Amino acid sequence: MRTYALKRLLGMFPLLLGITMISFAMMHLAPGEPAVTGQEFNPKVSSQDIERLRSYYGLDKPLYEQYWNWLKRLAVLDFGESFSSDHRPVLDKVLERLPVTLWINILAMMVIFLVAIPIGVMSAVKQDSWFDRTMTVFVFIGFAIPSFWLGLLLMMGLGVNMNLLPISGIHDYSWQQMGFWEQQLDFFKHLILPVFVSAIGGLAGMSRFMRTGMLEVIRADYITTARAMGVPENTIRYRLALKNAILPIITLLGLSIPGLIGGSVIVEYLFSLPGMGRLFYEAILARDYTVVMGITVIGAVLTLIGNLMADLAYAWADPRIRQGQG
Amino acid sequence: MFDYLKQQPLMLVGGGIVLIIAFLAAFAPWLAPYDPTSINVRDILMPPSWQHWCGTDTLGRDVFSRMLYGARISLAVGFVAVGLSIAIGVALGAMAGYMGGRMDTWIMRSTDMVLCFPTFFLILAVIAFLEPSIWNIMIVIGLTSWMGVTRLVRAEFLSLRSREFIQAAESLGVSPMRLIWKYLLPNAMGPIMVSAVLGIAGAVLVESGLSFLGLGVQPPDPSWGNILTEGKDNIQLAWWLSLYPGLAILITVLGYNLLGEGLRDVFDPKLKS
Repeated sequence: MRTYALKRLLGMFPLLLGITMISFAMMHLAPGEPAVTGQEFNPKVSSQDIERLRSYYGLDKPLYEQYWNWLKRLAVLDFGESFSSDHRPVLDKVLERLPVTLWINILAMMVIFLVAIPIGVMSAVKQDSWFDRTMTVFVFIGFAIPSFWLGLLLMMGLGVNMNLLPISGIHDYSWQQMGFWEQQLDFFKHLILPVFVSAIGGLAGMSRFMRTGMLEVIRADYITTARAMGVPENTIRYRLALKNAILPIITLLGLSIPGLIGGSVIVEYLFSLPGMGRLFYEAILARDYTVVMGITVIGAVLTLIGNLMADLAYAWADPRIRQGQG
Repeated sequence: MFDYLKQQPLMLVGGGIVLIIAFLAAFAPWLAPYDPTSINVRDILMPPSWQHWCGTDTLGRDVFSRMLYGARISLAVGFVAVGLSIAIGVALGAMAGYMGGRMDTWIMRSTDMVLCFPTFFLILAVIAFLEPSIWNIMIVIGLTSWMGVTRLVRAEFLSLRSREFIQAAESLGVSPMRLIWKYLLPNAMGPIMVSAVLGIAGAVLVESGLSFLGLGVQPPDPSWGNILTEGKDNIQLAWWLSLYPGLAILITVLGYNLLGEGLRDVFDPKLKS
């Protein structure tokens, strides 16, 4: 296990390097280096900003040197300063916004995991029943529904018309006066809609995936053998089959991270949540390039870490991978 | 033909939706009851009625007409973006799968790297450097969605190359280009088409999301996404601005997804569970 973990960890470095290269290329190969040239006439970018950008990226030096210098700064987590009037380091701005985004995404993944697996298993076990058919319809709709539209409808229905749930921000305006537990409750009430909206796409995909996986496993030889030996049907389904069908889900959870992080831009915009996605959106509108680049790199690194964790969890669960036979 | 289609309900329904939406988009100028950009201050935020089937927006423009024209833009973005991503994906996947060796390693490692980026971040970052316009969106979506196709084409090529008819062609001295164009690609066409159709659905969703954020199709050009932005801003006043455009996106994406799934069943009946 330890060698496997080490191997995966080392394998991350080329990927990290690649990520920084792509980000760097994006900044520089975009037509006419738009981050710098052409901004002289952009009222949103002052001449000091351009100077700041020049000095941060060392734009007068050759490309490879620029890249190397940028990489050195990234290595010590220096993402430069924001263009906005506060000129704060990008890292500080991101870190203060990150918790909300992580909360939403982690909760969304838990919801996906806890809801999609039972749905998938039930659909497979009762294949072609009315439950399976209803779920199939839901899955197709879940795939096709624009999450922000679902969010809008829920805001309208549950928030505006029925006044059940808050529709924006993470705190009620009376938050300061609340007791500790009231504050927690208020926080989670504000997260219900965003988490549900973030989870909907993954929910559809995951339950479909679980259903297919379960159907495949149920047809496997060892299940037939178990059945022939008279093992009770419930033991077969929920102990023998489920264990193996659930494995690929771990990888899929890892793969769904980029989608979740990317989706946080829309969810946080829709519900006015002060998270990283919203910061990214504001940075784009303000042409705050250092923040945009910083978050792009951080988002990719977060994805990488998520994938690594998923791989390790998989190896932990499946001895074949751990021992290098997978 | 029709008997065959009856056995493929997914394709029938999906294809039907796709054709209807395509028809509405193609004939939008003749079907639209109003000019989609004509402002009418006397009819601001009118609820749906016989005059305005889907109501009017904050500038008194007819939402139904705007949605018809929005269909044109969404489909155009979907088709161009997917065309681009298929072109890139097929070229890279064919190179990796046909040449193998170091070329394969390089292409697949680069693909893994691009896959690490949350695609939506990547798209938004590029939009931030360029200006949001319909062309830029098409190109950016295309440039950020080729990875799946690359992997798919590579896998298809690898498995095809071990087949006897390809080996026979190779041993007869068929040139590499001819082998790729005449033997390998046609046999990989099924999965490529499936992923193209599903890709259109994805691109329509991404475009609507971008336009919803105000970073996609810019007003006064109508798009399903930017009508929904108005819906969000007027959520207390005008439910119709939020309801209908989203429904249009849902139905369109559903149609392409169903068609894609149906095609998959046709090309690979084994997978049908």
